[in-house]
Amino acid sequence: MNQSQFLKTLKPKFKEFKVSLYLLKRNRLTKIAYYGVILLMLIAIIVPILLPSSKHVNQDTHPEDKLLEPSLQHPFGTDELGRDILKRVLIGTKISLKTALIAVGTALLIGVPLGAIAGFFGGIIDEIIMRFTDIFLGFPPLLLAIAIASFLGPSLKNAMLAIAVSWWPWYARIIRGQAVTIKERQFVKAAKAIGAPSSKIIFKHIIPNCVAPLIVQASMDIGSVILTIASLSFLGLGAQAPAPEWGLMVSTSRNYFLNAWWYSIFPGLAIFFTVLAFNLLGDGLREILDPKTRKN
Amino acid sequence: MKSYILKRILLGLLVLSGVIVITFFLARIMPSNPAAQWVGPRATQEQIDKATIELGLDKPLHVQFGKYITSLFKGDLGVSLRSKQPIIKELKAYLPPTIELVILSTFMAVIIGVPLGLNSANKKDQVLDHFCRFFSVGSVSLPIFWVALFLQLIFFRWLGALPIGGQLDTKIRLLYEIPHHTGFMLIDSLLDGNLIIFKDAFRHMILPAVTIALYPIGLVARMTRSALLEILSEDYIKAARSYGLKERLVLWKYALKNSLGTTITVLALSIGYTLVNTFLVEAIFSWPGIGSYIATAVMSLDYPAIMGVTLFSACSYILLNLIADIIIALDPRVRV
Amino acid sequence: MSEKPYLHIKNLKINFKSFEGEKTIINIDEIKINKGEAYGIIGESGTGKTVLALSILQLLEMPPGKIVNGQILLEGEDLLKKTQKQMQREIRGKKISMIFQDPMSTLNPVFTVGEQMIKVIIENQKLNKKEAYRKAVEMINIVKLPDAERVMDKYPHELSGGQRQRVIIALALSCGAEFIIADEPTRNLDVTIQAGILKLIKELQRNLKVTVLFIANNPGLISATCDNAGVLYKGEIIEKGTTKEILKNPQHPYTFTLLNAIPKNKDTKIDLSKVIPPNDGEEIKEGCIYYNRCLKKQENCKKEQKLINVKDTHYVKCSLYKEGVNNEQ
Repeated sequence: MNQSQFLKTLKPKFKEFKVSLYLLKRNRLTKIAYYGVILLMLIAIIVPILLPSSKHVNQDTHPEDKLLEPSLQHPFGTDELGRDILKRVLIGTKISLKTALIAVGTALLIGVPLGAIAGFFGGIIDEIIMRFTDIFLGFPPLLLAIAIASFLGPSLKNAMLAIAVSWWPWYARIIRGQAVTIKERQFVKAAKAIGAPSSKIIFKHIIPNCVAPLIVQASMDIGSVILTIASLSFLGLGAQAPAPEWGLMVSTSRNYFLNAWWYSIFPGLAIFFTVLAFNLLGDGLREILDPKTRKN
Repeated sequence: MKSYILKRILLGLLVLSGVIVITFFLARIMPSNPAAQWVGPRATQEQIDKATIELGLDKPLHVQFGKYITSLFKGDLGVSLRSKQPIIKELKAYLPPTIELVILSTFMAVIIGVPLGLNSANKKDQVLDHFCRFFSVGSVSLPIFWVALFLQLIFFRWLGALPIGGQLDTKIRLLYEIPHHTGFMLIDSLLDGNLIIFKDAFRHMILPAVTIALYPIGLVARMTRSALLEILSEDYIKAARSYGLKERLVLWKYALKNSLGTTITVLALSIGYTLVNTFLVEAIFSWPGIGSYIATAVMSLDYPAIMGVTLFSACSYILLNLIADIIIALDPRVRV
Repeated sequence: MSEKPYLHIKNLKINFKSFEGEKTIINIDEIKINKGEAYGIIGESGTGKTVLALSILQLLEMPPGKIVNGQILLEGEDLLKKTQKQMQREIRGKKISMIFQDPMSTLNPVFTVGEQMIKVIIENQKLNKKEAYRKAVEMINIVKLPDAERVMDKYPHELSGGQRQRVIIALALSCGAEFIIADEPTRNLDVTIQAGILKLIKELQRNLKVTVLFIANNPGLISATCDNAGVLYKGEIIEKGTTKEILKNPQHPYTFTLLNAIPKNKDTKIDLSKVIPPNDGEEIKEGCIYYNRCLKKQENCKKEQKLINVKDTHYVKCSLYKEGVNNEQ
């Protein structure tokens, strides 16, 4: 009997999952984006293995082959030092994905505990934390990252930190909203009643129950974070030469692109398609998970 | 209602002061020594020490902060380390070209984004809708600094149809007296009745404006679409159709007016985004606005200049959002 | 009954697509409405009443809706064959208009009552702005809202539910249409206001000689307003005839229990054994759609059911009855 009861409670969840899958499959754009993201991850993992010494590609200069047009040997052409642009673009995938993941991860590490604390304790603590997030949200999104990165000094590490600092308020807000509702639930009240310490309740009960909306939000943010990293690198505030970072490559290409179109086109396209894949997937996910648009 | 607006204004002031504090302390974490920059690379330690005192950098942090706040209230943003000019004076000079760009691209965002979002919502899941969704997601996924280069490549290098950058042709600068009334080139040339300058200024503005407009067009189209999807399923839209009203009237008046609140909110956001996006492209187009200004400041670590632009942009963003919220709160026709 | 009906719905079948597949929402054999009469449709919520109303005006969202087959003939012309543009130009507002069920959401919140009325009048009656204004004021007077000129300047949120429903009726009437679909016009109103609105619709139908299709979930509302009526259950008309016949002498077990669920006066006790049982009996794929809830089910019910003429104009779709036999209960 217990088992059948258990199955009964599972049934709506299973149906929910089936509906989501149906909706995800129904939208061709989302499906393509889904496979695109998987492909990008594969590239990020496999390419560094195939081209084991990335140094080899970074500093492997052939002055005699500089700024060659795309050809069979160099499908994306070569840059001003004669390096193969295709190889550099491929290696750049790992840089972009890795930095984006670390930046979002750091933002989560700051935002989640703060949001959970605000939502759980309420009152004056909530007020202080949330007004603090309001202040951070008072900066237009890219501006704060630019300001922080330029004051910290140009490096990829600082760019990641700058992004994390300008992104955490969004997560704090989401978690706080969730925490406010979860703390009214029976199991949290029960934990309180048996005298569990607040920190334990927050980390054992509140945060695990916010995971789903967080994953959705974070996956939707990856696209814009990749774009922000590229923008910072373009401004000279992120990755430094000779790293094959896409934004930096576009930035360097400025001196040559009028006579070597391939130099700026391909790294730019790499940014575009990567960000697009993540954004389309995020857009599709939101449409599926949002009950408002879901009913159709 | 009144209490809401009052609360909203108070929050705006709080955020504003918070932004000032954050900007000030951010600038203090800078590892390099501003005083060394002030005196130049070949200065002796003695000169640097003197400059440190001159700039007030030897005083404790809270004293520096107090001084910063009092000069802020006097409208003094400090002096640029690079040009040794007052920041406020430089901002005033660099601002009009940027505002011109922002206004033009916001205008494009409205006249292209709104109809796109509207038609897309009306034809949900049809070809036009797929196109619009792809376009709006695509345009916010584009690295706009790259778009700038791409457009230069096509329209300057390959087609030779448009200038690569600047505000005016050098030839025109030499031949004519450049008008200076408002600082907005398009308006100034019209005020002088000089159509040649107007035309040339306009030609120079096309590429940067289009580049910058892409993002807000996508944003506005996307938000309009999602707002209208909800509105179009409302009973009053079905009712309007049941009374035999023309489809054009139903969509462009009955439905669109209901989405006005959303549109106002999005516009406030998108102007903020656009302003920051100019930081990425103005330098590419040699556009003499605050975008180019901050790009140079970033490269030369001119921290008072970076602070000034940051403060200015954040303030206008906060103000725009505040105005949007108040308009929506005040007008019963938008509030719903 | 040789007279040609004004509105004639024939073999109408409408499906809805969802992720579980297609589901039939409407499956109507025939409804005939004569010119000038008030025809009632009774049914509980979820039986497809609104879908039926919207499909007459071609306002049903498709997809997910899908018209499988059937005709909706208005004076012999099939409305389902018309394009959206033709519907807008010739039918909606011109010949048919509709009163929606929810007064709170039927008026556009960002326009004043006057703006909305004037737009409708100008579209349908080819008047200029001034004439349209006068006409609008006249219509508001007709629906008995005091202070017409002040009502004109108000936004919907400044009116009460009953006032709004009167404005909505005025809007539907101001088109000048000769046929009005009233989709549960009193559903979200207080009982006292309901009576006023019902009386108004009845009066208007008589005075202005419009044909009315009146949709309700409460048989009592139908008895007060309609000459003929049909009972809709899960998209099918299971019983139809004169309102009097249906209410006094219900034949279908569903109608019977439905009427029994309403206390006739304050002293009657509802016989709970006759109240409609819940929707959880054995489901069958073919045959009577009421099977799983029916108290009188038998083997015959599993076959396909047809409307059977039991008396004069009284038809019922139930295997308890046989064609041509006088089935008095």
